[in-house]
Amino acid sequence: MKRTLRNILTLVLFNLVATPMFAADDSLSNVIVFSSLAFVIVLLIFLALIMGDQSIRISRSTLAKDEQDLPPSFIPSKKEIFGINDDPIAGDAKVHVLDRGHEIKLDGRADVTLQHPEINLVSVRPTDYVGMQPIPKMLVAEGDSVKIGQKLFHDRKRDSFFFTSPVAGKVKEIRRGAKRAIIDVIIEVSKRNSYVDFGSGDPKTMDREGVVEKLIESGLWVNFIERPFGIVPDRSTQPDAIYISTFDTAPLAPDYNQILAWQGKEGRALFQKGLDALNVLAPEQVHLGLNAGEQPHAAFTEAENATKHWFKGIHPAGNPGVQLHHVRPIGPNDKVWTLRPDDVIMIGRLFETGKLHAKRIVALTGDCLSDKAYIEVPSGSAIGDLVKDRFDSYMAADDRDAEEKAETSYRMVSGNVLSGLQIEGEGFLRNADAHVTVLEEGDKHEMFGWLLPSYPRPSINPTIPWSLFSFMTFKANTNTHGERRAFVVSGQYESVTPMDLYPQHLLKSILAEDFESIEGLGIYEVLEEDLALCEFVCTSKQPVQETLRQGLNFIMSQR
Amino acid sequence: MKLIRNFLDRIEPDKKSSPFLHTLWDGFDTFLYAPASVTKNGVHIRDGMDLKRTMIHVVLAMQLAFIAGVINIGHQHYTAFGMYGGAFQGIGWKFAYGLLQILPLIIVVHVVGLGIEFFFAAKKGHSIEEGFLVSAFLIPMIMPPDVPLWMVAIATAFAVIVAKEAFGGTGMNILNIALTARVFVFFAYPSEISGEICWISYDYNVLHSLFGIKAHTVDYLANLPNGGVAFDSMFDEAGQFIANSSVLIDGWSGATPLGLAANGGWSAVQEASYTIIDPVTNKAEVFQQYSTTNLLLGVMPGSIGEMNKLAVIAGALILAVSGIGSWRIMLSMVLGAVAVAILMNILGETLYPNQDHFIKVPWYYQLFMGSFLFAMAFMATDPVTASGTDLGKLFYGFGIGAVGMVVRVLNPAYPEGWMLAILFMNVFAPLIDYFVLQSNIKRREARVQVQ
Repeated sequence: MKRTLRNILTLVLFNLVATPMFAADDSLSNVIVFSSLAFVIVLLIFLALIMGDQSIRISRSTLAKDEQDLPPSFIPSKKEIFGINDDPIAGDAKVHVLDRGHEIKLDGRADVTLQHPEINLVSVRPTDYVGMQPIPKMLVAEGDSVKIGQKLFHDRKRDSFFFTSPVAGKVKEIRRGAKRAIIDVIIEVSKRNSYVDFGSGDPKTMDREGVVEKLIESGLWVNFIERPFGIVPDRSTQPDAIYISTFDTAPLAPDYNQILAWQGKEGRALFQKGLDALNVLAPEQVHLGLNAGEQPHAAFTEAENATKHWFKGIHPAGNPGVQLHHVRPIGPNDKVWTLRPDDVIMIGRLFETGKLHAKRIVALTGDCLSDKAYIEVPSGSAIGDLVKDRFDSYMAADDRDAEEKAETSYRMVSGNVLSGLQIEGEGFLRNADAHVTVLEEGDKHEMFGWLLPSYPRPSINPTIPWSLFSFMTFKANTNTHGERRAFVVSGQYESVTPMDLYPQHLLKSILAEDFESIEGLGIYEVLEEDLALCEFVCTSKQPVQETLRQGLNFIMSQR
Repeated sequence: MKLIRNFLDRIEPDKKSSPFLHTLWDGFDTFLYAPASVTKNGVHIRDGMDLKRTMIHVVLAMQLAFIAGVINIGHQHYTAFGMYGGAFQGIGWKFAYGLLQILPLIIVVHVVGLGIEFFFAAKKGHSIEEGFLVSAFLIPMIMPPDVPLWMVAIATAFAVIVAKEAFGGTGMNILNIALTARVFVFFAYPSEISGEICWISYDYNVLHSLFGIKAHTVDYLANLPNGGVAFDSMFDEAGQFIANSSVLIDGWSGATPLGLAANGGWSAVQEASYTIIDPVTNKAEVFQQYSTTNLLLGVMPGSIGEMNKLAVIAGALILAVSGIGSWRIMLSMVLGAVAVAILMNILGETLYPNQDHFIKVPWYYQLFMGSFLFAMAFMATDPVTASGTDLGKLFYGFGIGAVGMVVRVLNPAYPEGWMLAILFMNVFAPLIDYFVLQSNIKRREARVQVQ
């Protein structure tokens, strides 16, 4: 569609330029006037055809699956005419091609090696979860020793949300913030592992209540993210669907195929077992999003009891929110839960062994680290020392002068650079993250930086010269490259959002607290991560994700 | 480099006790240095593009048209005096004359506009907004070259205060700032901006005297081989230039092609000619005033921006390729104008079969007369006042093209329509967006309901 339009435009422009050139003679100019009139009429008919085709597609997408007796398009596709399949990986399945988005090419991808560093401290942080009460009910005190899977605290309002210890050890400290709200619970890891036994069992033979009970007791329940709003679901909620995206397209994101490959045959069986358990929670409504651009692991392609959807595209094509928009749009009354593949394996392992195995394979990435690799650590680990060592050895080998080195500091981000959380000090990971990014702080002035950028930086705009070279990868830093302004440029957000959505107008209606527009423009379909790229590309440096969360909270408070 | 940085850091005024000084300092500081601010939670890296860079690229895209326009102001001026008839004769003098004629205009617009901007920025406690960078360059480019400076000052102040700051500054305005300034002059001082006399610059200002441009003309006229002409005889007692007073040139008028076409149709444009009498040989040479080449290269009276079509197209391409100006608006505006112009041509054949009329001007020449291309490249693409949705932009551009062509051809009073068409569609842009968003909302409702 896009290419056809472009061709038409070239023709029109050519005609516009060419006709006056040849129109020296008056009798000729009449011929030209009418021939171009004919051309315009043909063009209009063609445009009408294309628009008709588009409207068929749109009206078809509003029909339920079994009513879709209309053909998808009356212009035959390449596949239908020549039998050429563009997506051999997906086979005959339908592939959703998402052509908008942007890939931020950063240096510092993790090497394909798996390390097992020793971790001394682990924290469990209630603030990582949306909708938690600030002061949870504590079940342990400082100095208590805890087992793996032992309950630490639960939410005061909804006592089904138990947070359990991912390691065996001693509760070192319970840190409190303003008004005695709990910031985190820090546990010192002991050498010996001791487990709380939840009892193994085959989820296929269990009833819903049994599966729910086990997930809540073990603390794995809090890994569910309920859309809309991105909250931890209630115990009694019956999900309309559970969605797992098996690939992550964010900058430097971990490769789940590789993570599964390391777990071997066992990993594949555990993943299937996890899916079986999810199938009990949402019968027939477990969905997998697969990458048609790169061969997914067999655990994903051959998973049973799950509906598979194929996607092809650059970031944010891997986000569950974007994929859900194309396969199952979320309305105000829907409840769709999302999970990550390693959470599913954890659930599978819980049912297999009866024990909580809260270890994650985390991608340690970032251009200013010496030894980038995957590390297997308990969730919520303190990785501050580890990162510091690797940063120091990177800087020691760097060829900058001593003064510049002394001024350079780094930032640890739990998660990816678009929607991760900045972590400081000991560097406790977020409970659910399988990704760490370390990048240099950009707290330096740059002379005429707005006019003559002095070092390469990622951008979607061709006026930044490096953006023209697709082979470039960047050492990004945290500089804002400009100051905050009101919305000026339009169309930018839409160009990186592969959804039928107008993010800029959604944000404006949030700022205006216009309830009906916020709802209508599709706030139920998005979470912060889905619009993170909009925030990256924003010329006016607007806090898109923060504003979106404001809007989500506003809608939640109105319901 | 460090020295300047340290100096700037040392002299930073206190924001609370002297907000105006701080805004001024902040303006220079962020001009010299991209700030050292870092991201907080949210995204941790940001795109290298910011508003300053966006705006400066619009200004840069205008520069070709600006330089070509400046030379052409000189060319028109000297031709009226019978000097330097060829396009490249005395090009240095032409450039110098044009630049010195426009420079006071640019300075006045910047001083007045930026002064008001600084004042409001300090009042609001914001840093200075970059939007005016573009407006301040656009305003001199769409004014008659001879327009009195005080008039420009008032128009600029009006535009900045009423069209922009009253709405909350850059990003909030509904009407295009530069066009508001022009429409102010147009309605408040109509005699200064319409008719035959205003589009050629005849006067010499202080700068011209200072740099010897005036002396050069006086000398040239006095030392002609045929005895010479006194400079003052070119002007009447009120200081108005007397067209055709010169012994050197005959048949010259300052009428624009659009003005001619409005009265006599396309043939009037083609027939317009003047004669330059060579001072040495006394031979008369006839020039066609508005050949197609002259229209394309902008050798005609007018404001600076609209003249050289090739330079304007180059600017439009820069904007479209860099994504700063919307190609959707540009393209649909061309389509809208072409569609209406073709319709006019057909209508003209039936209405005036045996007579030449404005309505019968071939549609492709309509695009190269007047300021159509300049309005398309730099005025209609202003992202703030245009539609915000991609689909809306197509309707918005088409609307400007269609309305503008209607105003141009069917309005007897004023043979140019883009200023009014753009302001008109500026007002309608939010409505277009509303309908696009409503269709999005309906689509979403339908999609969710079937689940």
